[in-house]
Amino acid sequence: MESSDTEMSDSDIELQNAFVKGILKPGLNVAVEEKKYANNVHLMKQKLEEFKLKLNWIERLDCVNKPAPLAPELAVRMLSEEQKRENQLKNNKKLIQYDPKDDPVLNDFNREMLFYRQAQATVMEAIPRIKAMNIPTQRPDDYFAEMLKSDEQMQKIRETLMKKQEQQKQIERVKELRTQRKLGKQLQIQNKLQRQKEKKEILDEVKKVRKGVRKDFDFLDNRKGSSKKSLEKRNMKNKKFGFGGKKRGLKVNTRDSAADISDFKSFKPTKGKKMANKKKQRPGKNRRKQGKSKK
Amino acid sequence: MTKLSKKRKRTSHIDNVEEEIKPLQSTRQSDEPPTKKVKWINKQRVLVLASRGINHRHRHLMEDLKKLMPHHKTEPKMERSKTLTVINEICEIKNCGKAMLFEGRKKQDLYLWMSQAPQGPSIKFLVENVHTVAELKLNGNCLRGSRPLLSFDEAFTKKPEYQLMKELLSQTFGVPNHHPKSQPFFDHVYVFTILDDKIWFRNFQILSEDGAVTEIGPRFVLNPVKLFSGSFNGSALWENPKYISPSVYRRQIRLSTNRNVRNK
Repeated sequence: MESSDTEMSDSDIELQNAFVKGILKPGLNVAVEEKKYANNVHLMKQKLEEFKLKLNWIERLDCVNKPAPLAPELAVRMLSEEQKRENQLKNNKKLIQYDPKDDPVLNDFNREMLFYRQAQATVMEAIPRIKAMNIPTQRPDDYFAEMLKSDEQMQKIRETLMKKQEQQKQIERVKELRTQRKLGKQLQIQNKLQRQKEKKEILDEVKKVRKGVRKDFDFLDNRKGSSKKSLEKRNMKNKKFGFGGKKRGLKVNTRDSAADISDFKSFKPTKGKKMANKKKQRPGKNRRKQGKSKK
Repeated sequence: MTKLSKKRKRTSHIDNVEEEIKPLQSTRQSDEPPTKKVKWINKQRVLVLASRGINHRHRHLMEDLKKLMPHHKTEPKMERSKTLTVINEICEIKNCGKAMLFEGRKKQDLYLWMSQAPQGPSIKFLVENVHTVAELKLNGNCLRGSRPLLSFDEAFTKKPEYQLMKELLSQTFGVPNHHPKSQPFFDHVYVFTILDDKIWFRNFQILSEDGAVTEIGPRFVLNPVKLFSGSFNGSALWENPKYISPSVYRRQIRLSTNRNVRNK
């Protein structure tokens, strides 16, 4: 009796512990049997032998192969994709943070890549095998037959593809513009500072000259001058319009200019010339009427 | 005149068939008279049917598969009340050696039964991640009814259950050679890959014969549930220990979220 009592108390303590830990829930507790999963290897092999299709390969067309080796451009793309995703995660903390190893998007990409490569391997293995049997594999250009997807569907697919590409282009253009604008702004600021610096230097030099520290004006020659072409242009303009001097009152008449009538042109034509020039004119309406009544 | 010439040709053709197989050209002109397809040996037919209660997406998937399989036979939707062994009888009536049953549950889960009709074995898959051919991101195309190359992952040769699945899959999806409704060219590949104990199906178009491919669709993942020795009946040959039924899975998620809410 005693021993059983102690046993009971032991199991009680265990149960209590379990309850405290939360393994045990209030209510009826039923022992759970571990489920046994069927796995009858012998019978499976027997069944396989029974219903295996024992025909030539060309009737079956099944291939077992490893995925094809990764093409270098694809490897590069995969790497760049990985880098891109990592940067995205780093730069935007609002995104849900993943370990780069189990990034769902990358996993999707890698998985599809695996299927793609497997398909490639099969094509590279099976097509030469079929060709070796002298069976045409490619459909000639003038062979038309019903396709899996209708022309409408293919048209739709093409349109969406185009749209996507266009969107991509637009995004790239906007990006480029943005970077250009940034660069432009920087350049502008740089130029402005440069100009200010130059001006300050010159002013300093001028101050020195004024105070008598410096006597020559060499610093003015060091300045980056305007180009030869623009200088020529300036000279031509100076010749034509004059340079320097008083500008006020230049256009006002003086006694001499008023008296000068050398370039005066009279617009009154001479009489004889006028008559010769004029044709016989048709008289006005009233006059014509009068003339008629006279007759 | 024409008649005579035709007769002559035919007799010569018959003589040739017995003696030697002419080397075929790599391409064929469409205006050539079609050669008689006498070499149709593998007269495999697949009964494709759905049970009542499948959802539109699953129905589309079934239609896509039908388009891809010229050797299929159709049957109206089956009532859910009937036992599945009825399908064996339908197969017998329709001369089908294989059956594919799309069984919908709750308008959201899809099970796919594949069976070798009278004597078995049969397998039940849970179909996940369905993408139909109509999706616009899948931009390949192929001839309707051309024979696919079947590409299997190396894992299919290792375990006996996978060997069995490989045989069943290749027999149902493979289009028989010289089937009258099939096309004589090879322009797509089915890829079956085992990843985390599920079979991933992809369909690729062969763009060029040096290995450029693009996806056609459909896409789906087959999660094997149980292998039976008979067709829609018999003892279980194998059970997937990692399989969790979708309703249990959803319940677990719901419970865990509830717990989270309560703990807050």
